[in-house]
Amino acid sequence: MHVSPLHSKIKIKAKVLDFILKHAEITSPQECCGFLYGQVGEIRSVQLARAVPNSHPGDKKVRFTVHPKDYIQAERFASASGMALLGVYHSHPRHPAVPSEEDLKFAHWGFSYIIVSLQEGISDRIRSWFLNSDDVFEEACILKI
Amino acid sequence: MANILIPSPFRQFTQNQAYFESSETSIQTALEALAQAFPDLRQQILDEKGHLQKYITVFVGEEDIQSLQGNETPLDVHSEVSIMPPLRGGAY
Repeated sequence: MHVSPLHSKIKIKAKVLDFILKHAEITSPQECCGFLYGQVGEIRSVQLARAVPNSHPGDKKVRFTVHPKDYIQAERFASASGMALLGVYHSHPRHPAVPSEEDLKFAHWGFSYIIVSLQEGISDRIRSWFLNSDDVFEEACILKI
Repeated sequence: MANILIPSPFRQFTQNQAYFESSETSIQTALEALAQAFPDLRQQILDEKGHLQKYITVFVGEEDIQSLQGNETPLDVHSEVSIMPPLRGGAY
């Protein structure tokens, strides 16, 4: 089986971090979500984030769902732009920026998962995670570029 | 040939191949052909009875196959098929 390397560091453009933090604040108290695009190299590099609606049918304050149509569009956009679809971001408006059991249940190997936590509607932490070969989340150190 | 989009997280099972062309004429047989071509992908999309995995959504064009004819949805040379695993999560 071909396995793409994942690393313990991830480069993210400063403007992308800013975009994600602002999206989390605008969407609070509901969870926000979106896609991460960029390049897979020795260290993967996030060059663009694009927001999508949280289409979860229940309580959006504690859950997010990306509609399959939005996911298809994201894959098509990645193919057309020449970038890789690197993963997703979402927010935890009232919980730490740590993957939950629900996050783990639906996590995919090879994707980066950026999570933003907020304090009273203001973004306070942003962390990046990936699923390791034991199906356990590990943190990737964010390198702002 | 119908064109099947492999979602990014599943490309680890397809030697990083993003698309798979199939001359099959239904979703069921096209997915079987895909699973046969990439055996490591099988359990991601089909259960032990060959049915679509519970959380997987399949679209033909812009339509969910559940609103068409399910696994028996016909395909033609212009069909664009997308296999989508769930993207969801939450705070706890």
